Amino acid sequence: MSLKHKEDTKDIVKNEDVNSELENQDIKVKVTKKTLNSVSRRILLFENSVNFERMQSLAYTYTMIPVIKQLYKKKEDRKQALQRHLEFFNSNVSTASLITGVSVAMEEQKANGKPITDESINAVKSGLMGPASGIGDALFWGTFVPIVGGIAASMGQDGSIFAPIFHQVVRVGVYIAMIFMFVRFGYGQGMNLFQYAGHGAVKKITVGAKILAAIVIGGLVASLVHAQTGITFGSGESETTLQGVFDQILPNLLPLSIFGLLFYLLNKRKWSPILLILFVFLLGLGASYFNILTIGE
Amino acid sequence: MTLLQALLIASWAGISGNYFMDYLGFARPIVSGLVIGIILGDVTTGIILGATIEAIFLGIFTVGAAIAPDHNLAGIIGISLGIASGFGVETAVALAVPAALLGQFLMVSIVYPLNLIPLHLSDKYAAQGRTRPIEIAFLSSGVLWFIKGFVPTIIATYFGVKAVELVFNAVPEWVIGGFNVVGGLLPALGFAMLLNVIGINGRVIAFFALGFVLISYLQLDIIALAIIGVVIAFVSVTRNRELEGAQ
Repeated sequence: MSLKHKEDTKDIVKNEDVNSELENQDIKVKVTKKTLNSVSRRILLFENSVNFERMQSLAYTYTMIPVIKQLYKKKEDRKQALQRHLEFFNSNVSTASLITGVSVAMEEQKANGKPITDESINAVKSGLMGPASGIGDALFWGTFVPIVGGIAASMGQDGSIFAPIFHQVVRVGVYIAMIFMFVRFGYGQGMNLFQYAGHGAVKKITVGAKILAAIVIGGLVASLVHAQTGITFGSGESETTLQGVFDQILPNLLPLSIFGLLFYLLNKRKWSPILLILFVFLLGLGASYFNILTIGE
Repeated sequence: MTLLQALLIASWAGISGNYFMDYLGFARPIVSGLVIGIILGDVTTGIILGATIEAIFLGIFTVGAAIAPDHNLAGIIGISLGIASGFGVETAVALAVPAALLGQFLMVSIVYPLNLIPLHLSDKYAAQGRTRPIEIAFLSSGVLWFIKGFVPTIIATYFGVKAVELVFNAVPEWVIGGFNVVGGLLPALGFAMLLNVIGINGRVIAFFALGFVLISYLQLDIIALAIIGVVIAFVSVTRNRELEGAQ
């Protein structure tokens, strides 16, 4: 059994060798590194033309134009390529760069005479865009952006000029590095990228990001939510402030309680964000009128 | 505020308000705090106001095809009027939320619908196999984003300062103090929304509590907390092969 299995694999390996030799002979036009970089640069402008009809389709086409120009010299081929990429596309841009890489690989194969149809190129795009937006929205908008923003907002509370500088060095640096890496990775993997959709590494990164986000959100509640009470007891020398009592129980008790209340209303009572914003305004103005809450120092 | 300052701020709103600038981070209020602070000659106040509005909008983000409230316009109008009127944080907080909703409305009603023009032009050019006009059509959408940021900002900054001064001089002290309190509370809503997206269970609460205690009791720097968070996340999702092999 195991011996037969080994022979099978040998055969497959042999066949693959033959295939790759054939492939190498077949390749007439190839996407250059320069074109790949141009694709990556164009992705940075991706959301410019977003609309309700086909969302990012024009952006996708704009991104693919350097590839189309390099691979297809005949007008008819270019027309087909442009039209297929104008079909509906919508995803998170940070992860959509992976899909763009795959599209480049497929266009290259098609230009070299492989039996790849317009439909299969678009099927791969629409098959990957769902999982890509799910992971991208959770990791990029839901974790990376608020953590970097939270750190910058904490640093900037006293007006430190390093807050916006830190913010942009991290945001721009990480984003651009990610786009360029993902385009190359998607191009290198081609359709194999599908196997990563449910891959263990992706799950681990997602779980790890959630843990990191939970820890940082806990810290941000303590550092960025401000509420103190101005209520006092007694008078003269025996005067004590309620805030002093709270501080002995738990520092930042009030910010934590307000966070807990809002989370409860959102999660359990299913209040909408707009209603909650109104609630916070009424709470803040009311508490100010009765002198219950102050901003503190 | 001089006309030149208003024009510069409105231009920044036109450039940084584009959706792709949001991916690059330039759309965030903390960045506008620095830029507007330089234009109006008060960088420290600019960054303080930017940080305040940044904190309010940390947890509010777009998912899928939805359009979120415009944190960019909120930051720009809140910061510039906060500095120019001299009322600072209170003005910034009071104006940020309406400005965010205005920006959201302009995106839904102007930018997204009018972006259909370059799209349909591109359909035509694609049928002719021409690439250059498609590139121009795509890039021309930037004009719509520019208008979305420029027009409300020039109106608000050039004509709004007087109005803000009038209103804020007329309302009682507790209202102004109230906006200050609201500014301290609103970030809690964003964090509640973020935690809600993560999903709540015993372990999430434990990690949240850890972060809260490390800042509250130990006054750690938030960057130190983020590094500790990365270490804990890494240790939690990886397995130690050597230890497992020794079993």
